[in-house]
Amino acid sequence: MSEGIPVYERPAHIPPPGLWTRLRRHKLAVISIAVVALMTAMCAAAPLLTGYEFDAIDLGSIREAPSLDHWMGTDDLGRDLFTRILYGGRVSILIGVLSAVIGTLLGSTVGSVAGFYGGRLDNVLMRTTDVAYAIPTLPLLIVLASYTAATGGSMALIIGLLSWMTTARVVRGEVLSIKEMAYVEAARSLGATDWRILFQHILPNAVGPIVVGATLAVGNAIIVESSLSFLGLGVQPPTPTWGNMLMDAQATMATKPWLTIFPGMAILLVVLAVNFIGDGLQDALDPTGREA
Amino acid sequence: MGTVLEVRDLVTRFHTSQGVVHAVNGISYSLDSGESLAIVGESGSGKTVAALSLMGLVPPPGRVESGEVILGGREILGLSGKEWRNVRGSEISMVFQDPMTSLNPVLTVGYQLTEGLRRHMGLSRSEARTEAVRLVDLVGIPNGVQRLASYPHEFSGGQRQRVMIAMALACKPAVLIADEPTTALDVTIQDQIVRLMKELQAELGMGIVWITHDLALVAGLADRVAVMYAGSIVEEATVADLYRRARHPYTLGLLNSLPDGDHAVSSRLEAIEGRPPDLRERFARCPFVDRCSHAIERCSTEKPVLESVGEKHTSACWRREDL
Repeated sequence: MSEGIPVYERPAHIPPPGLWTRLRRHKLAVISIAVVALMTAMCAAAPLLTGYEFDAIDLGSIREAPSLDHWMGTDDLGRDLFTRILYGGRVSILIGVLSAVIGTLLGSTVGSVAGFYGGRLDNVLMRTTDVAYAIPTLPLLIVLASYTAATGGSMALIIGLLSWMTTARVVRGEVLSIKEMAYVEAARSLGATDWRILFQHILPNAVGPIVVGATLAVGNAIIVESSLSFLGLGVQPPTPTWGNMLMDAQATMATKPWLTIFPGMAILLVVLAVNFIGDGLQDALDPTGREA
Repeated sequence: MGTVLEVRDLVTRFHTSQGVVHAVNGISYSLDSGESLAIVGESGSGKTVAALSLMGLVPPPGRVESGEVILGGREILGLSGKEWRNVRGSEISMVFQDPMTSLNPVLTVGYQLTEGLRRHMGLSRSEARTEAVRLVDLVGIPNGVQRLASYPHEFSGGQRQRVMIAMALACKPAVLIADEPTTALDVTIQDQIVRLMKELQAELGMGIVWITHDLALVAGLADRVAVMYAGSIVEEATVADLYRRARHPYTLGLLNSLPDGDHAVSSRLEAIEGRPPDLRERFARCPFVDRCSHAIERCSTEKPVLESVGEKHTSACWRREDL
C-alpha cells in the first residue's frame, strides 16, 4: 500500500532524540548546568570548604586584599569574603530560583486559563493582572518586608508573588494563538477534555516564552533582593546575601575593588548561566530541532 | 445495512456583530453503515460547518439552533459536554483538511495515537502501544514501533494524513467525517489516501461523510452525493444519476466547469457567473437565482424545497422537471 513512498527510517542504533539528548548538543547550556550545580553544591557544603564563620568579626584584619589566608580578601569588619560568598549564595540562589518558580507557575496558570477560556473569565483575570502591574512594586515590597521576618523563604515568596504579571500576559497571548491551531481542533474531535487540551496540547507549545521568562526572573529576583537589602529591608545582617554584600561594598568600590568584584561576579555568573540554560532548554524542547 | 447517522433539519447560525450568518439552513440526510456520502459545495457553502455541527465543535459565536442528529439510534445534539467527549473520537470522528498542521508538533505520533485509545477504550499504556503499532501498519506506515517514537515533522504530508486517519479510526467509530482530507496533498498521494480510506471502509464498515469541493474526486469515492449551496442541500442523488442527469442548475454548472478528458484542449471550461450570496440573508427566494440561467419569476419570490425527481434523487429547483 505504501510502495513508492520514500520513507525516512531512523537507523535502529540511534535512539529517538529525547529532551536530554537534544539539550546535550547545546554546549553552553551543559557548561552552565555544571556551573550552577557546582556553585549550588559549594554553597550547600560551605562549612566544609572554609574554616571561617560567616559572621566571625576580626578587627585585626579588615579590608585585606585576597591572600592565601583569605582567598577573596576580607570586608570592613574583617569577615572572610569567600565564606560570606558561599553562605550568601545559599540565600541568593534560593531566592532567585524559588521566586522564579513561584512567579512562573502563577503567571502561566493565570495566563493560560485566561487565554484558553476567554470571555468574562479572561477579562477578570487580565484586569487583575493590570491592577497588579499598576501597583508600584518597590513601596509594596517595603511595606511587606517591614511586616514579615525577612528570611530567604519569605523574600522568595514576596518577590515571586509580585513578578508573575509579565508571564501571565505573554502566556495568554501564546495560548490565544495556539488554541486556534488545527491540532487543537483535532484533539477536540477525538474527545480530549479541556484540561488535557490545555496542558498536553497547548502549554508544551508555549514553553519557549515561559522558559525565557523564568530564566530572566531568576536574575531579576536576585537583583530585587539586592535593592531591598540596600534599603535595609532585605535579609537582615549578619546573614549575607550577594545583594547585601554588594551594597556594603559601595563606599569602597574604588579603593578595595575585590569587595565589589566577587559578589558581583557571583551574581553575574549565576544569572548568565541560568539564561544559557534557558536558551538551551528552549531549543531542546522543540523537537523539530530548529535553533531559536 | 442499517442507518448509522441521520441528520434532520439541521440549522446552524453564527451570531456575529455584523449580523446573523445563516451557515446551515435545515439540511437533512442519512447515512448507512459502510456507505459513502459526499457533500459537495464551494467555499462558504456551509459544508464544513455542517460537519462540525455533527461533532458539537461549531466555534463560537456559532450555534446549532435546531434539528436532530441521530447517531447509532441516539439523538446527540442535546448531550452534555462530558457525554459529547465520549461520543467524539469513539462513535464519530473526523479527518481534517491539512495534515501538516493537524498533528501537534511537540508530541510524538505514538502519544497522539494512543491518547484516544486510552481514553475511550480504557487500554493500558502498553496495550494502547500494541494497538497503535497495529493501526499504523493498517494505514500503511511500515516500521511502526520506531515510527511511533517519531515527531510529526519526521513524516511526509501523505504519511501524516495516514496518521490522522489512524487516529480517527483508532476507536472504530461508526461514522467518519472526512473534511477535504486530500486537498492539501499532491495528486498521486491523494489517490493513495482515497484508496486507503476505501479499503479501510470495506474492512471496518464505517459510514463516511466526504466533504469536498472537488466534484471530479466524488465519482471515485462516494455512493451518493449531496450538493450544498448557500447552506442548503440543493440536490441529492446517487453518483451515477448525478453525472448522468443532474437536475439542478447549480449542479449542472459545477459539472460543466470540470475539465473533460475528451476535448480538454479545444473547449474552454465554463465558469458559473456571479458570486455566492451573502449568508446574512435569510432566503425567501432561491439562493441561486442571481446566477441561474434557467430562472423564472417564481424563483425570486419563493424558495424551492427538495422534492423527488426520481428514485433516490431529489432537487430543490422550481424547474426541476424542465432540466
